[in-house]
Amino acid sequence: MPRLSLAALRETITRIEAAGISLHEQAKRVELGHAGADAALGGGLLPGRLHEIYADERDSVSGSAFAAMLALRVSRPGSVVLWVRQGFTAQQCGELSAQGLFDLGIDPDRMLLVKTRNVAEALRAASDSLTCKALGAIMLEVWRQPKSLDLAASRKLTLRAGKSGVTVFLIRVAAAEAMPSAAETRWFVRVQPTPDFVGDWGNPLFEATLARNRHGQTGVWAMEWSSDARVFREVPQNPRARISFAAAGPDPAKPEAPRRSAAG
Amino acid sequence: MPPAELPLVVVAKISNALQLTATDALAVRNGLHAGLPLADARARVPALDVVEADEAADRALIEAIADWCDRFTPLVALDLPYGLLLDVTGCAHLFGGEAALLQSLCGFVRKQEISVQAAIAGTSVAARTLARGTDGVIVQNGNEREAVASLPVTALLQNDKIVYALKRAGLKTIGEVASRSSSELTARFGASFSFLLQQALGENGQPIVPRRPLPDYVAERRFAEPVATAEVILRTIASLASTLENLLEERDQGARRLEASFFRTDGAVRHIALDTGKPLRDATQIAAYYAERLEVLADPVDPGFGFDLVRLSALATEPLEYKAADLEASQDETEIAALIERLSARFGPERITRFLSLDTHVPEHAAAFCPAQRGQGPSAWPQMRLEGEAPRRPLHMLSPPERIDNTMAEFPDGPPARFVWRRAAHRIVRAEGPERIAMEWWRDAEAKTRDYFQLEDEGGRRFWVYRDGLYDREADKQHDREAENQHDREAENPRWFMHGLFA
Repeated sequence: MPRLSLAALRETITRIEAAGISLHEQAKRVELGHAGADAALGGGLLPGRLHEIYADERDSVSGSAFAAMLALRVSRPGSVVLWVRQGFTAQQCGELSAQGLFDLGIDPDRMLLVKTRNVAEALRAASDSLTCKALGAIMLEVWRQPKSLDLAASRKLTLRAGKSGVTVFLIRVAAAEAMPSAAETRWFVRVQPTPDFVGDWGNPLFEATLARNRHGQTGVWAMEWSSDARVFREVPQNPRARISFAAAGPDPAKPEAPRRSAAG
Repeated sequence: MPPAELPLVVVAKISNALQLTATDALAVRNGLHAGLPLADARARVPALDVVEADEAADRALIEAIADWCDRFTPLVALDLPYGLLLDVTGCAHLFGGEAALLQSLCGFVRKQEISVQAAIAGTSVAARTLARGTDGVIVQNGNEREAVASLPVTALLQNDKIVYALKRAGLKTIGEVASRSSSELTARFGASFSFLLQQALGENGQPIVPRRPLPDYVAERRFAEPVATAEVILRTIASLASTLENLLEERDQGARRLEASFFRTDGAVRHIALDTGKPLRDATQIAAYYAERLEVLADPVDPGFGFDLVRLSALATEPLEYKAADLEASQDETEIAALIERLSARFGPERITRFLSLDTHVPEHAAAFCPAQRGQGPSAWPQMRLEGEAPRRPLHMLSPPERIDNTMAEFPDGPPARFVWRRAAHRIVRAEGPERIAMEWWRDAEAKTRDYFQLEDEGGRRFWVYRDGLYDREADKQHDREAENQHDREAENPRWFMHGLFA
């Protein structure tokens, strides 16, 4: 009898997954701005789900930034974003900088920061806060490969995210390997070197691998973040593309050196 | 064969000589007393067990006993070095009358093998005098004069010049002293002495100065059988919270600082404080916050053999007003405020923060993490990046900045072409800068001006590094008069630091 019910359960799950997602949910997808990624995502990122962003220890800042940018895209304008970090991460990778966020086009005043002593506390903080529908998104930054972050934990996060409609971004820094999880999407993020033909100090560039996508395709893209438009873009492939892009906005002329800010 | 018991004396160095500060009963029978030099004591009784005084330990013990005494009244004062004063006005009936209270207090202290003398009287000085001279006396208001009359003057004052003067004048008991006229005493021993005497005689009672702040509102529950399970404790807190809510409601107040006190049967007392961002009254919320707080205590409340008294007090309160703004505040704002309270109760207010912008150019001081409970003022973040430009400040900032080694620059005052950071070598292909940032002399006079560079290595990783101090030639121009060899040293070995990482 138990075997039968398990089989029935499996069947139900397959049926639900085959059916994909409802039209209502489909309409909620949020475009990232990068044509390739948006196409693979079937129109954009689904809010109210769990999304995982993996980054190497050396690329931890790219992971944080990429997740923060996704969160900015997905969350309602002006809503509060809860960012849960372990105190240890701040020592290892550096503290989040308000001005750094601001320079990426993200309002630091929207950030509510939680610094926990360990992973268990971080998970608990994120999980408990998911009952608060007023939040725009929850960032949960986890270091390495804690045992407590298993399939059950990610299912719980997914379930609660679905109930409240708050999107969860799980940033996995220096994780040895991807763990099985209930996440909607899984990204591997690395820094993308600035192309040689670009003369000046440019926008943040990422090499983003969408390794898992529950309702769509996967892919690898070079993505550029525009701090002004607050969208992702394709990285220009040749100097001409760069020029046409630059012409769209004011010329990012080199600042006269040395820039001087004196306090006093 | 166990060694014969020796008279025990405690000694301390007072005015450069070892003096007895305390003695046991055996030592007293041998004619020793506090204040005697150790050399004299040894002359009288050669075989002594001498222990050095430990003031800190004495203080800790008296504090612990005082903590335990909090169960009788919130008004407990230390009367150092060995005394405690309790204001039991209006409390005694809760413990079955003054005699029962005194008995239960002394019984407990004696159970810990601490000898104690106690008394109850109309003024604190009278009670203290009685406790020093006798034990277990309860004097009704107005009868203090007779009660203290037969006591020696040492019960009133100890180790004091006045005591010797009184003895030389032939006044051995308090009664004899009191028989002299007040003006006579004031002329001879000062106004403070005659005031002390008046209080000992039950006049001019002064309030005691309690060691802990007096709570505005208190709810407590006593248990005949000690309770120990977390479930019962939480339920107790919940019911105390609703009592407190009623008390607060009567006065239209809300609590800003709460304290739960757990009195263990063995005398240990644990206080758990809880600060709130806004005046709080709702019992369900108070109970919920305490549930959060108690669950994550690094050092959990250990019930031992159980608690026999749990108390919830509001230490600080504020009027709880429903402003028009509160009604207008969006549902979202209310929810976020509740979330902040919940998380703060659980993890501690200092761990739930928001960015606070500070008006300074020094990068590490430009923003602070401010407890979110304190609310948020309008922040002004400077627009450093022009439109179309890339970020000028990194997303991750190292605190403190980390030294980078093996820096090599293509030209002397330029950015490093390669460096080693955290044991990894980086070859730089792209650099922007310098951005010169002068330190604030009022913060740190020693801090040097920094030249910041934005660097990108072969792999595309972007760093924010700075050279600590100006490059030699510039430095000479700016600080002509300063010692030149110092600059030479700096120029030879400019120190570079990693301050942040760009996305």
